[in-house]
Amino acid sequence: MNAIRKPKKTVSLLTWLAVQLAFGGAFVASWLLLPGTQQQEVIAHISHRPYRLDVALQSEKPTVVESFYDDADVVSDEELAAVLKKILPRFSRDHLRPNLVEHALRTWGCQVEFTNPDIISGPQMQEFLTDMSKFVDSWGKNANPLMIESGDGIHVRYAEDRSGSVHHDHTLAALTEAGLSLDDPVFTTAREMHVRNIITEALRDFRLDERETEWSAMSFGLWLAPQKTTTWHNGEGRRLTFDMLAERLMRNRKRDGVCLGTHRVYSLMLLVRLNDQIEGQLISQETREQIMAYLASVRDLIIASQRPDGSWDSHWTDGAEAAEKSDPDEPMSKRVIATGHHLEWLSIAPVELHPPREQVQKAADWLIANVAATPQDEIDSSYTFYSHVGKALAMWRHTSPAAFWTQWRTTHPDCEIFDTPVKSEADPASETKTSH
Amino acid sequence: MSAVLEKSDRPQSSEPAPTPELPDASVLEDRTPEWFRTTPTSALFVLLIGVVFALMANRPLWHTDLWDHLNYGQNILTTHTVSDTEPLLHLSRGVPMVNIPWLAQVSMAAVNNRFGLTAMQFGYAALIALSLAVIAFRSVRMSHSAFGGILACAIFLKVNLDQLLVIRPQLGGVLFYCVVVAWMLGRRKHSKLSWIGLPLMFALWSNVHGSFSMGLMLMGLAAIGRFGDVLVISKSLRVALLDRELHRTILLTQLCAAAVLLNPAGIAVYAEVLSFAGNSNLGSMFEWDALTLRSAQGQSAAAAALLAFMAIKLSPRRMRCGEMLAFVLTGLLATWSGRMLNWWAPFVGIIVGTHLIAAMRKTVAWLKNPEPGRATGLWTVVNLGLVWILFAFTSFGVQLIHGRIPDAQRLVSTETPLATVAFLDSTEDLPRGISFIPAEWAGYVMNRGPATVEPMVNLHVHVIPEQVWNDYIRIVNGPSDWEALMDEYGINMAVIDKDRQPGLARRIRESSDWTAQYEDSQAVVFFRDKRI
Repeated sequence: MNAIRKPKKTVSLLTWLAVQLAFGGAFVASWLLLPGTQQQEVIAHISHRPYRLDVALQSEKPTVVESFYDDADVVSDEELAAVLKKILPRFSRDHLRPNLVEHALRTWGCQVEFTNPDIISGPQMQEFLTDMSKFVDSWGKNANPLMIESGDGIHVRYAEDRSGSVHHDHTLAALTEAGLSLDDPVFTTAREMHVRNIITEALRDFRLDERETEWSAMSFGLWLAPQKTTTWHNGEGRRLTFDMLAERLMRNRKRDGVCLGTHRVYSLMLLVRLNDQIEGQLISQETREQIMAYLASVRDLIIASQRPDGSWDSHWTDGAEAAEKSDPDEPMSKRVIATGHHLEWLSIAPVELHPPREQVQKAADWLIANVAATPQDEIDSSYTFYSHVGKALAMWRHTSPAAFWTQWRTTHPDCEIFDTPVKSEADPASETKTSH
Repeated sequence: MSAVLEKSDRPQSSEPAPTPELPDASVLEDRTPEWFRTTPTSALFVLLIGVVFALMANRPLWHTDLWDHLNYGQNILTTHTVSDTEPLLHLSRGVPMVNIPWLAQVSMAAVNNRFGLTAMQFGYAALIALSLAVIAFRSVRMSHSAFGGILACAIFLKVNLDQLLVIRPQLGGVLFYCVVVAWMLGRRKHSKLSWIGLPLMFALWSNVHGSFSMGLMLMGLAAIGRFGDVLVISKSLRVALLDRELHRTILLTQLCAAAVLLNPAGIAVYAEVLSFAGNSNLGSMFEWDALTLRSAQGQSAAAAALLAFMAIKLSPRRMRCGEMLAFVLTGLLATWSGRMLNWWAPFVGIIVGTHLIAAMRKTVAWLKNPEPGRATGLWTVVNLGLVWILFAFTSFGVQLIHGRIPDAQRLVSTETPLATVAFLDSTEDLPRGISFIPAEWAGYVMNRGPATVEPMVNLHVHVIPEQVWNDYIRIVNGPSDWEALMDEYGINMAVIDKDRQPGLARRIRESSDWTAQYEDSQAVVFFRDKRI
């Protein structure tokens, strides 16, 4: 008698287990086979969170790129002292704009102490930017803080209003150039964090195609070059390199960058110097050659465009045609910006990228004379531009404003005494409107 | 094929022989193997679908996505690597890219390299024809009527025509999807073929297009639908939960989901398909817009939906839970984004084809007792003959048989910038760096133009940085700050589509810094006088 096979009514447990094993095993194996960066990408996609930063910050302090020159023919001690005296950070504490403090901090550093209490010392400037209770003291309880906690990072508010920073990563660049360390505290309104959290967020929220990349490139270079980190992924998971940053800085017209196109020149020169400091590991040789060619073309333009008085104006990118294109009614501040910034990058540039030294001297002479002739209140209202003049001239003496001033004060104890009191917060309408 | 004529037993006659009678063909015995035999209905569909195939196979290649995919495919063939970052666009360097359709791209590039563009046309038409064949097969099986199959195919074509016009790996996805639809609506879901074929198909699918996720969704709906059906009939949750078919569908879905992992990006393809629709750049792509009655495809979809509701209402057939779920869910997806019509169209076609016939069968005499035509080897011969004739009518067929290749103008759509690229090719001192080129033309320019030309964007908008794409969209519209945007990217050359970018063309003409170097009725090419 043939046995009739009954149709199965259920799937056997063994079949279930086998399929679950194959199913789970396939997913686990696939996950394990995925490179670390792609695992992060998957996590970011699924969790709708930014890509986790893949850079471990190691250098306690950022590196410093020093000037190559100590040329008293460019600026004498007395001239430098006169210029620096005019850019001492004497700001009203009420509604103190971060942009002013950032410029003063990068110029004077975070260690400098002044004898005149009207002048804000380095630690006070650092505190103002990194301790939001001090910031609130200045701007009032209802003001938005400058630094905002953002997960494991700190977002610096910028380009919103006068109580914010002006440019993306400008605050970071100022803190970096001022010599803060990774573990220096930053007090947000939520909790104590550290400078490393600002860098973390900056590396994460950087976008290659944003309009202003000058300060990001500079900051990243100063922190990452010493540890030879040349590539990372931003919050969108995009792989970034210093080659890409350099190319981005050179992408558009020379005149289109911040401060009449001079900041990108400084950032590019800085990248080359950093690259040379770590034996060519920061950028590729091809990129280095492109940057040097770019800087050589800048050199040629400033050779051709210098005005008879030694200054450069906003038409420096026009080279020999600058004279005919120049606007006689252009505000003096533009010439201060162009001339001060050019002298600044030239101080860290090799001689091959220099115009003839006489042109450098003429430019310095013009700046010194301009600072001397400009009333203090005008300099205060254009402090950000003039701070570059002081920094540039100090670098041409292979020193820093703080080091020089501290030394100078020992022989000139009255140098911090002023006839006029500190002016209260400047009327916004009276400020120079040039973007900086 | 062989046949034996039976011996005649008619007596011999001395009278002069009249005109000899023809042998009675009805006594011929069909000795072709069973598997070789086909029905007259199949011949009808081979003819009808074949006509669609021949028309599509002679249709000029649409000028947009195709070229980008060929470029990515060529890059993979050249580098032997499926890059995990965008490999072609300068402004997208370092942007992560999960290139799901890599296999489709490589295949397209390889076929194009070997046979040229006629093979692209052929492949394109073949995918559409196969999709129609699958839909026809399932509809005929369900409706027991060739008319039902024809109706289903016609509705699928009409509703989805806009999506089918663009040549891209998605067409492969549509075919695979139709197979899953046919599987879902069929009765024997767990045959040996299903257990082996479906996981294999999903493994292939995940290397061809991201729509494998829609296939998995359908399988999930099949399981839910089965659960719902059993629950309604048995009114017992226990019975529904212990249902063997439900279990087998779940297991088969799991195997297919695991098979998807067999691709270069592994599990990352899941994250990619889940996040793809959220890409902010897609917001500016009209094909991703919500379906609207103002568009032709919206009107077609609305008409098809009305017809489907009417058919369902009148039909004596019970609509299964999974069928209903899939129909409604994919319909909602289609209203959310017109591109999702791809996944609704097969359902609406089959549902109308099946239920309308079922409804009509009550009243229409010739539909009442469907008798399937007898399958014979003869019809297979007819089918093969039809296939050969239709093949011979395609550009690819002509190329293979006669060695004649049509002119480029006949192979590509009139929107393809042939003359502009010829100009670029003939110009020695082309500006270097990023160029402004319409995204729709970028792929063709990169494929056929000089290698030094680097378009700002292409149509792979999901791998273009958001800022770059936004700036591109701004420039396209010719805003007052167009020049600042061009400066921002160091653009020294602009190729303008005169029809679509008249504002920008006017702005550049007015500028003293740019000069038109070439112009025809379609495009104008400007160079910056003083290059950045």
